[in-house]
Amino acid sequence: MSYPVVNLTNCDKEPIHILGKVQAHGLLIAADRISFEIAYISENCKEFTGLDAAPLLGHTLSYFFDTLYKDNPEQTYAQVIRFGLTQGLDNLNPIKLQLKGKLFHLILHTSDRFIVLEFEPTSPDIDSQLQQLVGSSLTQILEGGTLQETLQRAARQIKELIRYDRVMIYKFWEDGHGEVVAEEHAEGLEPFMGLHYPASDIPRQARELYKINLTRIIADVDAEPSGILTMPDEKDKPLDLTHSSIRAVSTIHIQYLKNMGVQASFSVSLIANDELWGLIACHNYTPRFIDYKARQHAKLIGQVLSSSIQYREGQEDREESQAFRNASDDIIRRMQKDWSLVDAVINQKNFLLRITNATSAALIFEGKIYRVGDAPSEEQIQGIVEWLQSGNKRNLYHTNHLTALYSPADAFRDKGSGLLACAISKELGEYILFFKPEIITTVKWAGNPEKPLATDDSGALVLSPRRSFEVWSQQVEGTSEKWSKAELNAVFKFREDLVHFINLKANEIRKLNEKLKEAYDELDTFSFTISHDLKTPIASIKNYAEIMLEDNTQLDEQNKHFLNRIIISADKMNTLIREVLEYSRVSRTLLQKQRIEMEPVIREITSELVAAYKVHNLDLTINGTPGILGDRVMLTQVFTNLLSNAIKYSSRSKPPKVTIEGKEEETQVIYSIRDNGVGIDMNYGGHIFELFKRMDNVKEYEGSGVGLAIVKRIMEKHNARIWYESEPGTGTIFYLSFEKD
Amino acid sequence: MKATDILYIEDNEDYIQFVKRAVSKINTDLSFNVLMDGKNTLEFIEGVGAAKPLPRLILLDINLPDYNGLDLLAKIRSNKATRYIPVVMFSSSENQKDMMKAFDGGANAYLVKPMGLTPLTETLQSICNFWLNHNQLPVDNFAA
Repeated sequence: MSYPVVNLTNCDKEPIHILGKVQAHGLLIAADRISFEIAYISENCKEFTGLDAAPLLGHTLSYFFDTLYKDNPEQTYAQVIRFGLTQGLDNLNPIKLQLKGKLFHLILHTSDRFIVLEFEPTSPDIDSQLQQLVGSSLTQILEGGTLQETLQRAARQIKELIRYDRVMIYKFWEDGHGEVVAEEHAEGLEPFMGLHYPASDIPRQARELYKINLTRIIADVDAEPSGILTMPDEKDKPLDLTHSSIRAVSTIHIQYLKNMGVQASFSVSLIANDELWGLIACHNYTPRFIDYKARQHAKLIGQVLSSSIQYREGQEDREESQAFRNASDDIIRRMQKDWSLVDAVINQKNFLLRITNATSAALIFEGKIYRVGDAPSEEQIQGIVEWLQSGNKRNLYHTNHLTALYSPADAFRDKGSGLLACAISKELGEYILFFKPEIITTVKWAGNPEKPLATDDSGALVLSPRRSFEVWSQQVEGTSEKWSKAELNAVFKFREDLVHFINLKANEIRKLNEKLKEAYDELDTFSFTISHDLKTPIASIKNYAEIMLEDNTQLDEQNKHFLNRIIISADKMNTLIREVLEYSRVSRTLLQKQRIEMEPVIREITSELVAAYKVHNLDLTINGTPGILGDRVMLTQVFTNLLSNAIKYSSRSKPPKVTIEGKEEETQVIYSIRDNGVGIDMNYGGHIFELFKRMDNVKEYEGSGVGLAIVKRIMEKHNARIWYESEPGTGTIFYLSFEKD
Repeated sequence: MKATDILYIEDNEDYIQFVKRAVSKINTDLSFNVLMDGKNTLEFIEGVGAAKPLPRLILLDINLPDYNGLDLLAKIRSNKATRYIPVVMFSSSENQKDMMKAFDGGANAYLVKPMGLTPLTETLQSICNFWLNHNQLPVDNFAA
C-alpha cells in the first residue's frame, strides 16, 4: 500500500490576504474614502474604545471620532485623515493618540475604495529607545567585509532592535526551499544555522505577499483573532488586507509556529533584483509585540540589507567573472606567443582549472586526452565525448546532475557529477570538459521535508504543518554544485576566443603551406636549371681530360690514371645530374594517363637491363602482366628503376632470381617485383624512398640514391602506392598498387 | 685564300676546341674556320658571292651572344648564294619544339650540347661523310 506524497500545497489555495480577521492586539476600521462611512470594523472595537463595533457600521468616521472624543472637541482626526488622503498618508503615519487613556498608533492605508485605520499599542518611551539605535545600526551593517559578515551584523542589529529570542536570515534557493544563512539567538537556544526548510514551509502565495508587504508581525499565536464585521451588502466582498499590518494569518501558519514552540514571529523581506532573496525571520518564545516605529526601522534595515545583498552578490559575481576572464585571457595570450593549446592549458599549472570553479578538467585534442586534476579516467572521458557527439547537443553543454542524463556517469560521480562541456570541434570529437564532484551534500532539513504531514490516531492523513523540527539529514546524490552564470559566461567567452584563435592559426598554416609550395616549386625549378647548366662544364672537363690523355702519349701510368679518374668522376656526376633532372621532371610534367599493355614494356626493360648489367645467368619469371592506367613514360621509368635495382642488387647471387608478378583485384592492379639480392633492413622504413638515400649494405654497388625517390614521386603522382618487404641477405619484394579506374 | 670546308659559328671557346679537334680527327685536310658572333656571320653571308668561295658545311650554334642562331639560319636559307649549304645546328635544348623549329627553319641536323668528345667526333664523321662526299648538293631539297 502506498501513500500519496502530501505537502502543504493547500496553503497555496488559501486566500490569505482577505481573511476576515485581525490579530487581537489591533483594531481595524475601514471607511469609504469619499463618504467616510464605516464599512468594516473589527469585533474587538469595544476593548479599545468602549464602543460596540456593529452599531458603528454605516456611520461616518467623523461620528466615530466625535463620539470617542466628545470631551475633547479639538481632536479633529477625521479632518486630518481627509487631509492625509490628498497629501499622502505616509507623511502622516503613525498618528499618536489615546484610547481609553492608553497610547496608540493610528496607521492609515488605503485598500480599494476604502481608507483603512489600524490602531495598535505603543509606549511613550519608544522614540528615545529607537533614537539610540537608528543612527549607528545602518552604518554598522554596511561596515564592509564579506556578504556573510554583513548578514551576521544585520541579524545582530535586528535582534537588538526588536529583542526577539531568535533572529535568522533565511535565504531562498532556486527551488524554493530555504536555508538559514545567519543567525543570532538568545543563550541556551539550539542553533538553526545551516538548516534547510522545505519550500512548502513558506508557500508561494506567502512569498508573493512578502514582496509587497515588507514586514509582518504575529504578536501572539495564542491570542484569539478578532473577526471583521461588515454590512450585509459587503458580506460577499471581504476587505483586501494586503497592506494591513495587523491582519490575522492563516491558521496553518499559526499551527506551524506553534509546532516549533514559537509564540511571536516577525519577518522582514529581503529583495534583490526584484526577487524575494530571503527573509529576516524572527522568533520569540513568548508573546511579543513590536512597536510600529521599531518595525519601520527594521524594514529600513531590511531595505538597506537588500540593496547591499544585490550589490555584493553582483560584485562577487563580477569579481569571480573577472578572475575567470583573466585566466582565460592568460591562456589565449600564451597561445598567441606560439604555445600549443596543450602547453597553454595543461602543462602550465593547470590553467584550465582557473577558468571555472571546476575541480578537474580534460582536454580532448588531436586524438589525445589530457587530464587535469582528479578527472574521470581516459576511457570514461572517451565515453562522455561519444555521448556528447551523439544527439543534437550544443557547443556549450552543462549539467549538475550528469548521472540522470548519462547513466555510466554513476561510476565517476565522485569526480564528475557536474559537467560543463565546451566543444572545440564536435565533428572531430575535440572538447574541453570541466568537472565538479558530487556534493554529498548533506542537507540538514529542519524535519523531514517529504513528510510535512501527520497522521491521527486512526492512521488517517491529517493535513497540518509538520510537527517535527528535529534535524533530518538528507544526502543529495549524484549532483554537483551548480554551474554559475559567471562560469558559463567565462567558458562561453573562452570558447569564442579559442575557436577564433584556432581558425587564425589554421589560416596561418594555410598561408605557410602556400608559401612552402611556392618555395618548393622554386627549388624544383632551381634544381632543374642548375642541373642542366652543370652538364656543360662537366662535359668540358671530361672532354679536356680525354684530349690530354690522347695528346700526351708520353704520360706516365700514374698521370694517365689520374686523367682517367677525372673522366670517370665526370661520368658519375653526369649520371647523377641526369637522374636529378628526371626526378624534378616528374613534378614538372603533366600526367598523360592511358591504358598501358605491360607485357611488352616489361620485356623490353628486362632485356635492356640484362644487357647493361651483363647478368646472363638471370633467372627471370614473369607471372601475369595486367594493364595499368597511367603515364607511359613515367611508368616505364618506375619499372626500369625497380627492375634495375632488382637485377643490380641480386647480380652476385647464384643465380640471380627476379620475379615479376601482376594481379588484378577488384579495384586495384598490384604488381610485385621480387629479387634474391642483398635485401634492405626494414628499419629503414620509408627512408629508402628519400632523395640521395643509400643503404649501408649497397655501398659497393653503383648508384646515386635517386632511383627510388623518382619511383616514389611518380607513384604519388599517380595516386598509387608503393611498399616493400625485405630481409637482408634474402631478398626484397616491392609492391606497386594502382587504382583500376 | 683557301676555300673553307667547314664554318663553325660559335662563341664558346671549349666547343671551338672540341669541334676543331673532332674535325681534325675526321680528316686533317679539311679546312676549318670559326666565326664567334652573329654580326660577323651576317657580314660573311652578305659578302659571299661568285668571288668568294662558299663553305661546304656550316655548324651553327643557336645561343650566340648577339643573335639567335635560328635567325642566322633564316638569313642563310634566304640568300641565293648560301641557301644550299648544309647547316648543322648546335643547341643545349633537348626540347622537341626547339628541335622542330630548327628543322622547319631549314636545318639539316640538330645536335644537343653538351657532347662527349667521342660521340661528337662520331656524329660529325657521319655528317661529313654524307655531305662532303657529294660534289653535287641536293638542289631539290630547298626548292623555294
